[in-house]
Amino acid sequence: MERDTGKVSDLRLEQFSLGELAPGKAEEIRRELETDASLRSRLSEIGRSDAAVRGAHEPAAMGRAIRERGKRLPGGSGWRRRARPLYLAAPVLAMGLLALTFLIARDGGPVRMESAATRLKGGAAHLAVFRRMADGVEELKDRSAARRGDVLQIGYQAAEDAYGIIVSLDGRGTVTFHMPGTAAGGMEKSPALDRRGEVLLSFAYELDDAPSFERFFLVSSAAPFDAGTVERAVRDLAVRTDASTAALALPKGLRQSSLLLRKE
Amino acid sequence: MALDVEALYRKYGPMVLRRCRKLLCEEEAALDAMQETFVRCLKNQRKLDERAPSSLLYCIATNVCLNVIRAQRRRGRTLGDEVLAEIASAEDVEGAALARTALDGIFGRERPSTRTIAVLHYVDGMTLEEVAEHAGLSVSGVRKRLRTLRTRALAAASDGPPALPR
Repeated sequence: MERDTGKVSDLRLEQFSLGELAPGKAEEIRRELETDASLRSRLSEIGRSDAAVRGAHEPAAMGRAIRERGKRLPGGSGWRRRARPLYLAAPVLAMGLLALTFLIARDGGPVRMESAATRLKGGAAHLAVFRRMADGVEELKDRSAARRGDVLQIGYQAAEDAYGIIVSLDGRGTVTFHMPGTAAGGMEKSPALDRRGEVLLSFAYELDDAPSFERFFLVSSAAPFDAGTVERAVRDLAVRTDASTAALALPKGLRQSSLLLRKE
Repeated sequence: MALDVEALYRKYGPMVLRRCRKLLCEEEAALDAMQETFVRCLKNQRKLDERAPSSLLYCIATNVCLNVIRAQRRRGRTLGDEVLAEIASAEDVEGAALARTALDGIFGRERPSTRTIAVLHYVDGMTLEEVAEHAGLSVSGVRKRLRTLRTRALAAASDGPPALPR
């Protein structure tokens, strides 16, 4: 691979081309350009390449492709979980959080936490939601207050369930799939849960300005099930007046737990 | 406010693609890495407000490419050059981080990885000062991270030559 040998790095030249350099630094580049033919050539090549890239990969189409990919990725594939209300599991999770040893996610995958809690055998799966604070992280309990802009991290512990889906419903009736990242028109299957301990999804979630509440559900089972089943149940619930408290109407064999955040 | 990914791509897409092409030397992999870079931006929109988008995108693209190179190397295939492959496979200093650091990372507050910093310095030829500026770190912080990475790489390469430039 060709390495930068000049005084001006690729990134610096890109920033000059983008007009993002501070005036003093931009002036330094301009002076270099007056005397350095290879630098002028590199800058010209950036201009030619810009046009070629935008021509070959048109922005509107690329923007759509990126957005679609963004919808698919959260939650990834190949893992899933089952849930139980956080308020039941909070003491265990709190202990686990204190004692946990994190295994850093590789390649953007989920993070697995090993703690005293993860070594417990049996029991139902549960959901955990953490909020980023200025000075750390806070675990949220059921019915905690939350507001627009809160950045949340969702996690779970699978316990004995093998498959699961995490989805949320807000006060506007918007349904968001967190694991898998989309219901794919109901065609998506529940991913397999990572049963080795407590698991954090590999992305964070920022609350928007939807009013009243944000409710997270973990639906789980010993066997795979369709995301469409869960999606229909959540959408049915969304139109009810007791959407913030009622249970999902799910087929036999599927377990559910939820965590409610009250919007301020 | 939702990120206008189309506008972001229109302005920065060519730069990101050039970066991915340079590191991966393969068009299809570079295009895929470019998309992944913007997807990560969608997930961490706040970060775009905090730093110059070009520096941030450049660092994200570098990290994405290193992940691709490392994954390919595990499959017995080398993308990019050997130094890059060594850096990509080097144990990340952040791997030994404390629990809270891990959560910060998941929340999208992570700084550029040490591997990314190593590429900026060893492969791109940036000075420590330039790396510090683009990575949002102090010069001493960059120096410390590189020293730690080099030590680990040397330890890991006990049956071979030093993996990283001195």
